[in-house]
Amino acid sequence: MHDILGQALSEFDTAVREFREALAFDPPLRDTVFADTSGWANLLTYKLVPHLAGEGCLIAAVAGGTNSGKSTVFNTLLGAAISPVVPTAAATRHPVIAAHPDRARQCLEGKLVPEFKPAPWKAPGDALADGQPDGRLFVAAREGLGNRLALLDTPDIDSIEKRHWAVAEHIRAAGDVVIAVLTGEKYRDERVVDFFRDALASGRMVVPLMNKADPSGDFAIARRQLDEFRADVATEAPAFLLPLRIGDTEACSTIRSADGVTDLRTYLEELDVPAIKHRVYRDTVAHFAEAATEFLERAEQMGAVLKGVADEFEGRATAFAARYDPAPGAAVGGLFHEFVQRKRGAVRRLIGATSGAVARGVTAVAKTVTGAFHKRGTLDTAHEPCSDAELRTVHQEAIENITRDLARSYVESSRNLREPAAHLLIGAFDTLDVDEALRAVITDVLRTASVSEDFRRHANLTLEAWWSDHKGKRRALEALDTLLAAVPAAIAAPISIYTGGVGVPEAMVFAGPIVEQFVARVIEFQFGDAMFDFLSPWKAEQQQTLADALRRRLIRPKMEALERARAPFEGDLLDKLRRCHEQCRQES
Amino acid sequence: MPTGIVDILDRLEDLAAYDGPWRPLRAETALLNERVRELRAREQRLDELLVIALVGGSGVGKSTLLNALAGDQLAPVSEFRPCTSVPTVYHPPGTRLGHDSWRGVSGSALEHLVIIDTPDSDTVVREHRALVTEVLAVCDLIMLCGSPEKYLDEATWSLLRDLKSERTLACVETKADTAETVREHWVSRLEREGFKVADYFRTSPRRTLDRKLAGREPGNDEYDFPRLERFLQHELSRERIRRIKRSNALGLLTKTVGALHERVAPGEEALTALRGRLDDVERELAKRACDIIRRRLFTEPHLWNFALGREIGPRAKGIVGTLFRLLEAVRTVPARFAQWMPWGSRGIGRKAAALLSGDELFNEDLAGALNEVAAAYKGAYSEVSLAFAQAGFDMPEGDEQGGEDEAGLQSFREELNRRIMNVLAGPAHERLVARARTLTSWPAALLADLPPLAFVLFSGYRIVRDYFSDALLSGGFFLHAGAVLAIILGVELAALSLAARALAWTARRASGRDLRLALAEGLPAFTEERAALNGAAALRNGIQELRTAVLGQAVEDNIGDESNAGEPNAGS
Repeated sequence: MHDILGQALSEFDTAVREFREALAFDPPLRDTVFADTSGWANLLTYKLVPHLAGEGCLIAAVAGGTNSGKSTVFNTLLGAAISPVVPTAAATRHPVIAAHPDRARQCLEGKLVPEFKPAPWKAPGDALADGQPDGRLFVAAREGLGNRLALLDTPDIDSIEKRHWAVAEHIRAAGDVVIAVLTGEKYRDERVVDFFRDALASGRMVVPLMNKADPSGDFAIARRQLDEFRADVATEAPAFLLPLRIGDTEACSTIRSADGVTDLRTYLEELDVPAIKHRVYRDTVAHFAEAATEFLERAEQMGAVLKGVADEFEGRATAFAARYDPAPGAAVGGLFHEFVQRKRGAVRRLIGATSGAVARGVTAVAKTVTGAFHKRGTLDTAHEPCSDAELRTVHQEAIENITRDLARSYVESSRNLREPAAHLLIGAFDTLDVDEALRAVITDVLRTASVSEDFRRHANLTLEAWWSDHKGKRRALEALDTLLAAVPAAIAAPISIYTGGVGVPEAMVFAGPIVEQFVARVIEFQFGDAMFDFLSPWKAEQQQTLADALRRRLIRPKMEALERARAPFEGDLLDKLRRCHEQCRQES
Repeated sequence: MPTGIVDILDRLEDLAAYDGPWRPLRAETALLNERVRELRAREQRLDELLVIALVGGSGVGKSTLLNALAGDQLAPVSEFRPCTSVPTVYHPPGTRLGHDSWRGVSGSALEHLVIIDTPDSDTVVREHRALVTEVLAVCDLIMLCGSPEKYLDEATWSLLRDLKSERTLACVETKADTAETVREHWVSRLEREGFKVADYFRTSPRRTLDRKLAGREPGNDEYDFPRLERFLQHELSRERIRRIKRSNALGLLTKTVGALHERVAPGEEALTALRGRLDDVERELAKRACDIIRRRLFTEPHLWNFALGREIGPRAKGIVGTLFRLLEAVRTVPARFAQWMPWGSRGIGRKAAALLSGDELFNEDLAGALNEVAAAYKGAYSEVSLAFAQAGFDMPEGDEQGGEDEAGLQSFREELNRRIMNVLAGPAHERLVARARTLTSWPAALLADLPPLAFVLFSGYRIVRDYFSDALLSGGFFLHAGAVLAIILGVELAALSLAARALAWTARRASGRDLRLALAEGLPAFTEERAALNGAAALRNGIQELRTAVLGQAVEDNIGDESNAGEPNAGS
């Protein structure tokens, strides 16, 4: 059983660390995900994983509020001044462990109480010292202590030094037995009671001890206070008393139990270590499995929220891009022409190409000539853009408007987001350089405004389908085309008869293109009903391009933080955690 | 409260009432309202009693301290925690404090003072913490109680941190017993967290209470207790109380305004940039509108010919003038009687009339120009609204997918129309009239009439002369003369018409320039946005001034403190 559980636990531990590491770049998010997890995380790190090393030594931690006399109790238990006793509050900064020399060695190697930075104890003042690294643990070797017991002195749990709280909680997790040092003033403080309640809930034994008890009336007041505490915390262990003013720690070396049967040191030494260890371990695993459930659920939920926000933001780009309604330029119209040319025979195609070139030249000249007359605006007619340049301007403006409106909707909705996504996106779009993003989007979209290969293929398929579906029409058109191909020759023939060849080239030059263009238009006009099938994919393609460009240029750069935060939730880390957790639950 | 603070408070209240689109300020108004309410309440209570709260952890002896001050067992004391469950209010006869649920004990000999003993701030009974918070809200002076065993507990400190600089704080060390005192450690820790400790009393209330109950005279084993009593009885004069309250109020005010300023101050550059942007967009929009109008209106030369013709008509003089007028009348028949003629063009006449009479130019018929202007406006609006959203404004919008701002467009169009009409009905019209006058002036008419008249006179002379010399002219002569007269008139009419066209052309060019000038300084398009921006800038300046004023008050107060009375005695 231990093997599977042990493996699951250590895997869980690794995965949790990795998860934490992955979120380290964003402390607020990490803190939200890991809120209220210090309890079970401490258990995992300081108890469950180290326990697998299998060290059979009972660890008793002396804990309590500031100035309640933890160090006094510690020293009394050891019969020596190991921990400093100072009248001011919140004095002990670093924990001290006292153990048999063999155990002390283990401890210095980091085996007994892992994750701390052990250092050999030299003088009582050590624990008060500034300038020690966080997690420092002083190790005092005491011959007098048995091989089965180690004693820990801890910093306070309720002063304004919150750093001390964390250390005390690590110690609590590492211990098997917690000695609750109380005073007449502190036995019902919320922090103190909660601390020991949590200790009990996670499987620790809590032994209450009333310090500075008033001996009058056979400790009547202290006994009642102890009873109240035991009821609050619901511990069943026997209570102990230490009277007020024990002037000399060396002299008064026993702490009697409330019923007077035993003293604390003896009680601790006589505890059944393997049984307690086993019970503590079992309860710890159960508590851990219980407590970690909430964490997993929250992590999953947050992952879902982040994904929801990201999807919503990306999806909105598509919704906005749907408002883009590009008009086909000459490029799309040209497809008809190409198709018609392809369907004509080789000779006819040659004539078509030549006359097309001539027609283009004539059109250019005609445009230049008539330009002066045509260049005339009117107030009332709607102006349809027709040239490519004009179309481009119109498209560009449409894209600008869509992009700006989209950016504004992001600005507004990123303000109204709720945590955990809010802090990842807040203000992100406020600093967006829209002009730069716009330039990029326009380049992306308008570069591909000409027809793509996909669309060309699709267009040809549509036209081919039409061509094969309308056999009668097709034959008529082909016949017309062939017939009219003869028209210039038909005109030129009589001319040559009457003029002896003069004027024939002119007739061919003018009549050829006119006829050719006329037929081409007639055929193209037949495709009118195919126009809609033809254009809607093109529009969809353009809208898709715009949506992609918006996502790439507008959203993604600003959602990096969100994406980065999402990654750990999306990966297999959570799955692994869930799997390990399930195993733990079953095994426990 | 002195006028300075009242004035500041009024202005703060105005800010708290802000409900405009500027987000940085609106985000603060909820807190601001709360603070203003509190300050107002404090302002009203300024002349009332000084409320002292005894606050501290469980079992430090707050109730015992109250009992020792009163010399009687007023508040219950016990070994078991928590003991006090309801605040005990110890007040002089005839005064009362608003909370009915609190236990009131009358009979205090300390005038102007109300002392409240609070429940514990740190036990398992959480409701007690809420009670302590309530007492802290109404108190003016906090007496933080602590025993050498218990003076650094987070549970109590966490309640006080928010009130830093809003309440005067004094420490009372209870259970003083030996020569050792925690004073130095305690005060240094308090100061490290930013508390200002006004005074420190080391006491042993149990001993004093026992002594008072036994009716003994005070001995010299009560540490600072006599000084504490003296402090409460004598040093807390009305003036001192006022100053404590004022200092508390000023503390809260400084904190509030400081926080507000911190939130709002960095907006300066953003607002300036936004203003620049708004100006740019408006200028650009006006330029585009001008282009649209010029492209459409000023590329219809026939409109201008038509208009000039209409001006010339009524003024025409002389033979050629009359002929020209007739010709114009015939030429413009299709425009004037368009409704009866299938080929008639009604548009020209209507547009020309609009051009010169100052009618509504942009009505629904002119869809083309209208749509183009609307499109330009929409583009500009999306630019402006994005810039405003980015700068932290919540402008009201039409619909979710980018508001259309119909009202704004409407007013913009009206303004644009007004400017164009000013140009058309003003300088453009005058120009046309002036040109018409020139063409139809008497000298011009005479000059034009001279050749045909001279020819007619010459022909008449020939006819008369030949008649008297008995040689009748042949029919050919009359035919000839008629043809020449017709040619002369035709050439003159053509020249006149050409001149009219040329003048219409110059008038059009000149009016185009006028229009560009009229639209050059930009059209006020986004009035709502501009108003919001100006409002925000004004508010920001107001807050800046407010901060200066508050700092000024604080400085004044410090000077007053130092000159009026000695610093609160720190004791020794």
